[in-house]
Amino acid sequence: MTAKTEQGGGDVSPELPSRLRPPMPRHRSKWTIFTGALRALFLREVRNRYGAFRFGYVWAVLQPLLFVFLINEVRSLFGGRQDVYGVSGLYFFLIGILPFFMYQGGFHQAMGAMSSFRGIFNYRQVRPIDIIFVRCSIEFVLLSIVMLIFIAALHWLHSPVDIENPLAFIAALGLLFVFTQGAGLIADVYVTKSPDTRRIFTLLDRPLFFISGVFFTVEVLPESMRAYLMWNPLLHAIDLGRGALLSEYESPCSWLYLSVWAFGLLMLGMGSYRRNLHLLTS
Amino acid sequence: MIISLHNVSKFYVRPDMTRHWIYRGLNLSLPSKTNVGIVGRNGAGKSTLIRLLSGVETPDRGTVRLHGSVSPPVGLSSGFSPWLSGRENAKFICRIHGDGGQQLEERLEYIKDFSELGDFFEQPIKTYSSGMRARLAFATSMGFEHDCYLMDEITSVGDEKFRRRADAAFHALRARASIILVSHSMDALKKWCDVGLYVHGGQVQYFDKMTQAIDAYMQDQK
Repeated sequence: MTAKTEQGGGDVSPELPSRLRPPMPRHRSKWTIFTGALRALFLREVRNRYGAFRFGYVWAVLQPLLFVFLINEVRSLFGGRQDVYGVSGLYFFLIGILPFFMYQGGFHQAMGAMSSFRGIFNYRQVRPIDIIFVRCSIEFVLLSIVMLIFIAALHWLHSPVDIENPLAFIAALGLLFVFTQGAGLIADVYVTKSPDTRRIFTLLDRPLFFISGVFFTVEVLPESMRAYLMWNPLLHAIDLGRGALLSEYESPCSWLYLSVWAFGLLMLGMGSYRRNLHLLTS
Repeated sequence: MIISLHNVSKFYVRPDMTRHWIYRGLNLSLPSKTNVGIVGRNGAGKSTLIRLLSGVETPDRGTVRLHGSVSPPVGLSSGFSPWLSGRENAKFICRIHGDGGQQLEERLEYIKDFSELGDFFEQPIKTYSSGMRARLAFATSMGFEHDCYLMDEITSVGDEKFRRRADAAFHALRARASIILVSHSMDALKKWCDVGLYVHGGQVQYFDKMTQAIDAYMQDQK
């Protein structure tokens, strides 16, 4: 009835296609399955979010670009100085807000991710944590591209662009990525477990836009405020990033403090993920 | 032994935060190369059992061991994205199974042929009728070889022609692998399954003959 060969199987029946079924991929290691699932998910999610619409990929880049531009206009209405630390106000603002959007986009994309991907967990190769990783990665990759476009455009317009220490900036983004992953994972585990907690996470997230150094450097903060705001790990990430790029600014923030937060949150996230895993796929 | 469950417990959390226990301390082992039919009332835990067997759902307590390759539930379309085309959705499933390059293309062609969707294979799934969606899902499942196929109510897929095709595929499949089938159609169970499981009251009863399981189930229905 069946013909099963090394090359795969063709089921012989007039009702079935005559084409041979390709053989199954050989036994794969856990690592290969993991990276394979990440790759497949990344491609699917990018296509799903942007590819299904006309000019989707263009919009993906254009939208944050325009948004940053708009906020910058509003900011300069309220007396944002034109030139700071030897660069234009736009550039100063850009290298603060884009990392912040990476965090915020990643966090919001992560929250609710597991419940919206429930159908996919029927394929054992995909684990809930993969989704969080993929969604965070997409935000970071996308906004990095936006940033490169912005910097290239500013450079082309002869606006002063200062890139003192790109490696340190990438390191700050790397820690921010770990931080976002950890925060997103924790939030999504609890949101999936009991959807009410979404309100709490949104509430915690909301003020961050104004206190995370998107509009200012730590240097200009009055001493009294600094004592409180310096607890915010996002402020450290953004300020360190700025300090890395601007040669006229040295950030007083701590790499150690940010790292402890980032890896601490990631560990906490993985712990709560592991503990609640049996609740997450059902 | 292809699948064994040891001391498995599973509960769901109700909206009022109390626990609804499906299984408590369940022990079960299923022989390999045997077609298993599962019967039971709605909500008895048949689908949960299938999901535990497939490894999709992790038990709250106990262990589930799988030997050999067990398929994801056959004909499942809940993993599809409505915005993506049939090809793109199938491609994703091929990729997570480890396909790449030439092999990926060949499998996609096989799935396209099997589903008989023609040009619709390149269109977004949101434009499909429910029968077409089911055909794509079934064809995608048939594109992969496993030692054991899990099915949760799948016997009435598509139109007459496709049903004949599915029937032929089942026959072929039974010859090279085993199936585990949940169904409310007693005819289908008798046709495809050798041994039976009867799920009721958080227990799973094993019967050497499918007909015995059906009889036990029918007895309780009176």
